[in-house]
Amino acid sequence: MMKKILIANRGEIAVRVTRTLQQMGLTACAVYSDVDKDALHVQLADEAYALGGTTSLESYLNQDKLLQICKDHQIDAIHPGYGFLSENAGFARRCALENLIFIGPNPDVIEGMGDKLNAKEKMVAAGVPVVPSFNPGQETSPEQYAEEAEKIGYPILVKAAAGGGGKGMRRVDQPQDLNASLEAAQNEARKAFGDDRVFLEKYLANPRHIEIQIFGDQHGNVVHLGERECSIQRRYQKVIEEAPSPAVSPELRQEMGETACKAARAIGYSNAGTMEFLLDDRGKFYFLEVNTRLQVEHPITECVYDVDLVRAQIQVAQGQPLPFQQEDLKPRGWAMECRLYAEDPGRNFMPCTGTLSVYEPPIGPGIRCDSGVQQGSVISVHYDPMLAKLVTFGHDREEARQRMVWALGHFPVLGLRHNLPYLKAVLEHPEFQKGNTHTHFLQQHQIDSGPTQVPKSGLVALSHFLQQQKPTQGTTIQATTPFQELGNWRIR
Amino acid sequence: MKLNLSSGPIETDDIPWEYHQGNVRNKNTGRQLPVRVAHLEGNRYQIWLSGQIYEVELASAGPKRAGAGATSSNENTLKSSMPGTILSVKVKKGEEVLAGQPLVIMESMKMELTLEAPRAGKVARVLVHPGKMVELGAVLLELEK
Repeated sequence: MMKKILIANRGEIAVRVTRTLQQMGLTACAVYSDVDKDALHVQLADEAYALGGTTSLESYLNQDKLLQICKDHQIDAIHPGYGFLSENAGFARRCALENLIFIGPNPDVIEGMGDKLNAKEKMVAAGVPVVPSFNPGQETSPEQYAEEAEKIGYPILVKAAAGGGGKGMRRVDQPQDLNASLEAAQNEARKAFGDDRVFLEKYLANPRHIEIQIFGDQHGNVVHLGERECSIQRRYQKVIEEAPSPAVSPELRQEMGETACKAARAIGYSNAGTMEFLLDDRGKFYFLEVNTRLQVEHPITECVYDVDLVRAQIQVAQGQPLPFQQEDLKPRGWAMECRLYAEDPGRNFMPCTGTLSVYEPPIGPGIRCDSGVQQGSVISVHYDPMLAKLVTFGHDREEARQRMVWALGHFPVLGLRHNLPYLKAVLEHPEFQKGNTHTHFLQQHQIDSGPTQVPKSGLVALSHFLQQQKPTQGTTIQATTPFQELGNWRIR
Repeated sequence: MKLNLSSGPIETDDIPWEYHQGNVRNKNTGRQLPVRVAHLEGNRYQIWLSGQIYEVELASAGPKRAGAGATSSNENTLKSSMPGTILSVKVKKGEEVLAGQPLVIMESMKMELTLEAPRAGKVARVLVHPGKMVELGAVLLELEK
């Protein structure tokens, strides 16, 4: 039996996993880089060990150091969270060699699904529908790419074989742009993944991003926990998710769920995973990729299926059978998730750094906030700019939406710029309200959350604030902001 | 209290609202709105008022900065808008560039930023190379005047 589990991650997911481990009576062990020594995930853990270093490579990706810590402190298992080492088959293998349980699918599955081309082939073999595409073997001439692109039909997408998160991905609308996009995508892919293989894929107009949560155990059982719609994306980064999807009927849910389960069984899937699909306006769905980890947006599934996915991950990793059966899994109500990013919508979503001098997550009926930060946290340049996930849950979509609007409006976050006002503007957009969501929503609709004239009552509060500050204020106020210093340089 | 905003001075004692424990309250109607205030950067402050965020700039205490002149001189230097790492430099010293042409690509918080030329001109100096870590506001490249 497991007793001590090391969480090889940081931020909100490390905090979230810690809570479930503690609820289960397990010892939650945190690791941290030099910059994260005061971070929330370290404070809340039962034990904490320094990794040293600043960059991800020096700290949370440092496999040798992580494995040494496990050896020194009698750790039984590693929860990798998402990102970092969560989909690293090599690391999962090293864990096995050290007699450590890696909480996730087995390394061969991680490796097989991590390679997007290979994953697609396996899915085709398992009878899963895929988007028309061209997957070259090794070396392919630009001429052949051009020929295949014509066959698929423009517009097309150039995607990295080892990709994810929008890196190494380019949309091409016309033949004359193909070569430049191939080159750019290859460069980006080489830098991001150390692998410059790319492939072509048909580009679907206004599809929805629908993903199916799957769960398998080590005894061959696989179930699905319905869909999440993650259509509200910016540059292929998810921003708002909901479960269920307004576009998925019970019949379609069953069809997509059974397809995903069949494919998962075919590859011997165990633990939590997600099959991503695009759903077109005719109700046809196409496989995108498998994510062999717990997703960022897993809480909305937890809400509508009343399960703790991390708890189930631990149980399954210990060799226990799945804690739920397909016939027991019925969706109930509606959940939404907003990702709070330290990014400035007024300046093309540039990441922002600073100190969260005000941070007061809302509390109320149907509200869950998974934060990786707290008041006083310093947001540095070194890691992902996601601060928290705000989740609301209601009996129906409108109740969940109204709760989200209320929660966003009662969540003061100050000290740096962020996307919270932008999230609120999306939630209040009439097309979002109607459920008319698709992956180009944010490009097609003008989301206006820019600053407006402050009411005079706000200035009264500013006066009060400045009076409180006076003794330390001094005369060293800088005359300009870095953005003014920039002049007319444009940043894309 | 007299507030010296960059848009002009205002006497806040004349406003019929008062601050009370995390709210501003209307002195006449008793209406309350939750409020929070924080320093953002330089002279700028953020006011969170009943779910909306406003930014307010105080007038600077020191001498006024040159207006248009400062802007045009800024156009001769390319500065980093974020602390981060230089990924690539697209131009060489002596090269002629067009307005809007990508000059430097940098990475910050896992995001790529492309810095473009504000005007046409000749590259006078390149001060960075791929892999170099830069602070906010560091000069990356200069154009000939």
